[in-house]
Amino acid sequence: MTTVKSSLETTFGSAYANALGALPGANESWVDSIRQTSRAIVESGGFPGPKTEAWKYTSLREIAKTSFIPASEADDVDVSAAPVGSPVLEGALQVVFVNGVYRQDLSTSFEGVQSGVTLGPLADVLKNNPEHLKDVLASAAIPGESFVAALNTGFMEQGIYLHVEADVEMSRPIQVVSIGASGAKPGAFHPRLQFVLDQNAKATVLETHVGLPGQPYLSNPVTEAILGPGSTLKHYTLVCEDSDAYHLGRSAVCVSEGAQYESFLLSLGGKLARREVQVRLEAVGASAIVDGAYGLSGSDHSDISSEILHLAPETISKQTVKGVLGGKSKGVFQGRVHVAREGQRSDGRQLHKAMLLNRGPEVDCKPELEIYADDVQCAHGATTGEMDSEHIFYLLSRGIDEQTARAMLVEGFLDDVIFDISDDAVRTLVLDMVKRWLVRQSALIAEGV
Amino acid sequence: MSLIEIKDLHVSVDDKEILKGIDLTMNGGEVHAIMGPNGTGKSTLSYVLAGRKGYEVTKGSVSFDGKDLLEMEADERARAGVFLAFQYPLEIPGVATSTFLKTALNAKRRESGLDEIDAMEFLNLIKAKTKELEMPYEMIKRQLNVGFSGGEKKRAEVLQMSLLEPKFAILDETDSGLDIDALKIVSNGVNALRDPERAFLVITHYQRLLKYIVPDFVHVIVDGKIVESGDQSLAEVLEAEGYARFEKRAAA
Repeated sequence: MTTVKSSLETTFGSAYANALGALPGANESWVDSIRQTSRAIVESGGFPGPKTEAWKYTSLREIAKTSFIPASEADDVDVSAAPVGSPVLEGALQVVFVNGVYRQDLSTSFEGVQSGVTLGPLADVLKNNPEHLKDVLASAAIPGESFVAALNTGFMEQGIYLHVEADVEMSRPIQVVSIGASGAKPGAFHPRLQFVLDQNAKATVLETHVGLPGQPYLSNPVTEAILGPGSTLKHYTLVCEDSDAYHLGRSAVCVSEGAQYESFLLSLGGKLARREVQVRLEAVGASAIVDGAYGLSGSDHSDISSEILHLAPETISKQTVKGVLGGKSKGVFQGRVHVAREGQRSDGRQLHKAMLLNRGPEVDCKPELEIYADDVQCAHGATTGEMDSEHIFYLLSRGIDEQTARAMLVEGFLDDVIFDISDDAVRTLVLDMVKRWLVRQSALIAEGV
Repeated sequence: MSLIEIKDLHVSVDDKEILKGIDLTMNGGEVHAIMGPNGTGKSTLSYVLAGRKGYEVTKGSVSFDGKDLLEMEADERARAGVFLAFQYPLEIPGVATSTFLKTALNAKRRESGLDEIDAMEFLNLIKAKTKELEMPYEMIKRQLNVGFSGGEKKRAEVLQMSLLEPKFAILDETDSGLDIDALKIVSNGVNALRDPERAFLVITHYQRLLKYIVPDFVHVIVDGKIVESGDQSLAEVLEAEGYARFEKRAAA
């Protein structure tokens, strides 16, 4: 394995070492041990290089060359509000983090959250009630399985903890807003979101990752969700980082009997934005929707790496990811669907489609289907191409000018998968974000190939 | 001056000559049927008139309403009043039928110096048109042609035509894939649009459609040329005897 080991110390140097002892839960031996193990993985393995299969198409070299300070220590950053244009989910409980630090002043009060729901800053739980996390922390996002998870787990400090008790349906969605902003020095932050849904519980969470222009920052969030039998989690993630920023994020989800995980990822880039998702369908009838869309321009680099594991009979997964690329951007989709021997009568469907607006972008697509059961229904497909000229002609033949026709077709291409978001408010918000992104790309779209 | 004048039109696709000298003159109010065996250039004629790319006109001319049609882009032709009802209407995922119809209608209105249509007025218009064509109004909320049956797609084409009120409408094998009930509905829709100012070019392989949309003229096209023209009785002859004798004549 090729690594960039020597630079780890440069990348996360002494400022990090000093901070470690003060992290919440440091005095709890099992928490400390999870952190130590994770850091050991990062330190001994180093940054994965191009010979590591999972990182073949996404290089961490730029990140490795940068010296980051813990972003929470940047005292020259003023964020008194979310960046202009940050999407706001009306009616949601807002939980805002700036550089990984919980901002009570920008968030909805946790007081009076409905009964049967525990929602609070993760640091408080780590400090005061770590037993809540004992069977949960690092049980889905396993540090040894992912560099991204290990990096987060080694340095995690703040985040949220959500626990929904059996048969409780949350009356309001939660919107977690993570804002990155660097002062004179590049900063890194590692927010951690922990969701636990008991039997038949229901919750909706929207994560939005945004940032301010300036020095690059590294956002390294991990979301870990444990879904009890019959529960439903709708989990939507919007990655819209600054064009100089890095995002290394992972969602890891365990879905038990009859539970449903519905997710959607919208990635509008960043200098390098990698989202990993791992869904473990662990018991009979567990199901997951793992959809996504991305829009890239300039020198954006987006990587969506997903693993869907059918580990029990009659589990169902559906994944459709669509991307539009312009400029000299690069899009990576790695999608592994694994059906274990125990996964009889399971159904797994995966589709990745990319549309290129010009000849500059690159798409690397690696679908993998591994089936060890003999009675399953699985299908996967991948296409990459320019806009369909027959579609353009159809619109032209109705008097629609070419520029408008192309814009309609690009929007329709992405909207097609966005329409499948079941939450009305989130769907509207995502459609609107995509529309605004397209308006910014209008010159590029009109120009054509 | 005639509405459409096609003179000695030669068209090649990938350097292969498909149309080998078409002459056709049409006036407002007339319905012309083009019949012929498969692969003889019927669809090429419809596409070249609508302005699809990839068709090279090597000789001849087409004037439409006094303008040189071949100099115009596809969208300009459409706004000037040319409409092609597709043999295989395209499915466009993610684009709502209502958005598509409204965008097309407004493009046409802008061209005529009119304001964009008011939202209420648009809905009422669509309500009336869908009712005429016995289509559920809800279809405009669906994605354009996605999951529509063959009959629904053809009806949707006629709906678009009715909305855009072209001067020159080309119907490319509109009867294909229609059962008899759908054929009647579509034909009634077309007949309702017959107008002294409007010309229709009805392209079909079978005589069946022409029982419902009765043409003024019937032309037989074989191997890229019109080999015979007549009135509706010519269609009946073709139905009885097939295309064999025309094919022989073209080969001779």
